[in-house]
Amino acid sequence: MLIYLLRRLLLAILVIVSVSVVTFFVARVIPSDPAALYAGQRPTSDQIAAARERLELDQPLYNQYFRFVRDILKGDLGTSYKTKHAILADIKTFLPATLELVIASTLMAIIIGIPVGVLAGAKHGGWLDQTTRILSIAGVSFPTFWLALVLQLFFFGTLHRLFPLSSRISNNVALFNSFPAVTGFYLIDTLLAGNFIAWRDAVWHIILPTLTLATYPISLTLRMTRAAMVETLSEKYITAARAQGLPERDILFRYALKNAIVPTLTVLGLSFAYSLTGAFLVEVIFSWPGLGKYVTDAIFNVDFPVIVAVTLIVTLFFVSINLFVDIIQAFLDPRVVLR
Amino acid sequence: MSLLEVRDLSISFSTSHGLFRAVNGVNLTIERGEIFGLVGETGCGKTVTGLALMGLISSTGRVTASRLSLDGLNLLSTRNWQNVRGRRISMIFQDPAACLNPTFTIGQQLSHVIRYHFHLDSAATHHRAVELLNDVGLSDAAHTLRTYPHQLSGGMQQRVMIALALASGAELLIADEPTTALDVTIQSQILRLLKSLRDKHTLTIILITHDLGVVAHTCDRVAVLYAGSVAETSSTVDLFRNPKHPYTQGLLGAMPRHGTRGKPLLAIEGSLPSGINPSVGCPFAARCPLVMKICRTDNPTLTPTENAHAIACHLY
Ligand SMILES: Nc1ncnc2c1ncn2[C@@H]1O[C@H](COP(=O)(O)OP(=O)(O)OP(=O)(O)O)[C@@H](O)[C@H]1O
Ligand SMILES: [Mg+2]
Repeated sequence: MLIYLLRRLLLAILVIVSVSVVTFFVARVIPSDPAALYAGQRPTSDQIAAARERLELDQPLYNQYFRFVRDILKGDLGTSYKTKHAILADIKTFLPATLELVIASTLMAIIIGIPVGVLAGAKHGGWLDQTTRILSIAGVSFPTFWLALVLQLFFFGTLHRLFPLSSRISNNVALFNSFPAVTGFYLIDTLLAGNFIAWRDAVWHIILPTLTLATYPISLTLRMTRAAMVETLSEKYITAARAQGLPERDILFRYALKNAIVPTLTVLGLSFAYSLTGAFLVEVIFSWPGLGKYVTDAIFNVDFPVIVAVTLIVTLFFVSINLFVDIIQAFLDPRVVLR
Repeated sequence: MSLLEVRDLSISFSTSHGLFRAVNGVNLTIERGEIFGLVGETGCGKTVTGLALMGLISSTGRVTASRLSLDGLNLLSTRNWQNVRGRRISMIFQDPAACLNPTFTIGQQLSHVIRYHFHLDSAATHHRAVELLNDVGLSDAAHTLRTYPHQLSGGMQQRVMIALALASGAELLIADEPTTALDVTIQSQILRLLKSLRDKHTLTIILITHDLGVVAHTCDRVAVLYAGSVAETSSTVDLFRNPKHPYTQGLLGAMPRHGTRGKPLLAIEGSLPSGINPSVGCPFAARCPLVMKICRTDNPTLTPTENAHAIACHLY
């Protein structure tokens, strides 16, 4: 187990290094001049040259890369060319907003997708199976922006502003019921501060973007769970468990689910990592100040240090989530040997 | 009163090719404390008969009978099979490796069953689990409880399955080819275990097998199934000494025995009739060496002769 973890750790480092090399060099070779961006609007050629020197863009490429790695190891992700902000500080404010959204939607996928998938698989061909099949196909095919707009139209328009349209918290709540940022997760920070007015406001704000973001993973989780359950329920140990007189509830949610859940977990892990930047459409539509919005702006501005830094952060999450899912799998199924 | 009475049990499945008759009017009477053999070649309906007794036939199947009674309890009108499965009747299967849940330890699986049926606290549950493992001949119970199924040998897995089947307190155990997947030496150990459980715990056992050797070795009485109905039933001794149905005679002729070394084994020509379009008359008629005219038009009923021996054949 320990050897396994060490090997995985080495592998993770390898992946992160390769990703950093690739993004770094791709960022350098595409035809655009970061120095010009850095120098501001309508720069003179002298200003550009000065910027180039300042950013050490005149150095050989491998020198630039080693400098970049050295800075990262010191905990410095660099500065945005556009805003001149320290990128690490930016990420510290934007990442929690995205994480809050992605975690909320993943939880929703788990809480809805898995139990409904189990029940649909238990009576495959039944009405629940048929209904959820149609809903899930719709759920994975609706474009995010369309779904977001429909939800906004319905919950804000038809239901008379039941849920707010945008941002993480209302302005007046932020002004008159402010709370200290501890974790950066508003739902947690408000609770830590004992500020229930702000908590309720934060909950109200997160519902629509979460619903939008969760539609895809809910549908996927539901169908994956359902398919795995259908297969597992035809196993002989299920018949044997019935012959031992175990109740159907235990057979479905304990005996079968533990065997059926592994592919679902893999999908959940992937969709979690993907949503970190994939959420950007949702973030734009709901003016959610998250990582997706941050990196999208950076892409439009060819702001390389930001793009590279966010790529690295997301890679880090990807690798850790994969490892986490593998460990859970081994934990669930004793036949999986971690090697 | 007999423990189990089965009258005119029929089981059919709706398939894409039409209605498939797996069992056609099986009659069985099982006495308390006996080991009753259910023999027949593959596909003759042994397993589905066992499953039907527990209400475990899949939803595509249909079970009918004129009488299905367990110790006076009418299984035909059973709405809540939960009170029968495990509690009254348990079943073990051919392939113990596939019948144990791979993701739970033996201890977890045993305690689920014990706790669900007896509502014991965890200490008493553990105690009972150890006791059951000892009963089935697994002496290092403390260790076995902590292992996962794939860490056990086939023989040990089948012992665990038996322990699980007994954990719910069943009085009738349906053992569906419990030794087919095991080595010969392990086979006889498991059969001996079943016998000793019958003796010690007054268990009644229906032993499903296609192996007449197993029957001779283990069973008190036996029913020979052919194409979904009983061809012949009697005490084991009587069946081997005095087989009457041509099919049984054929089966015994196909069995290697002492004193027949060097002589060719006899095979029964032909194969089972189709369950989808069963012909009229005796299902064995097409393969019967002694076939008569009536056999092709009338299906013989199971008729008792002397010594509680009953045969479904126009010869008798
Ligand atoms: N769910 C089902 N749907 C359709 N046909 C079925 C189903 N279950 C069993 N059958 C058919 O019923 C017949 C009897 O099956 P069964 O499993 O009882 O045979 P068996 O005597 O136990 O044979 P074996 O020795 O191979 O175990 C077989 O032809 C089988 O194909
Ligand atoms: Mg069978």
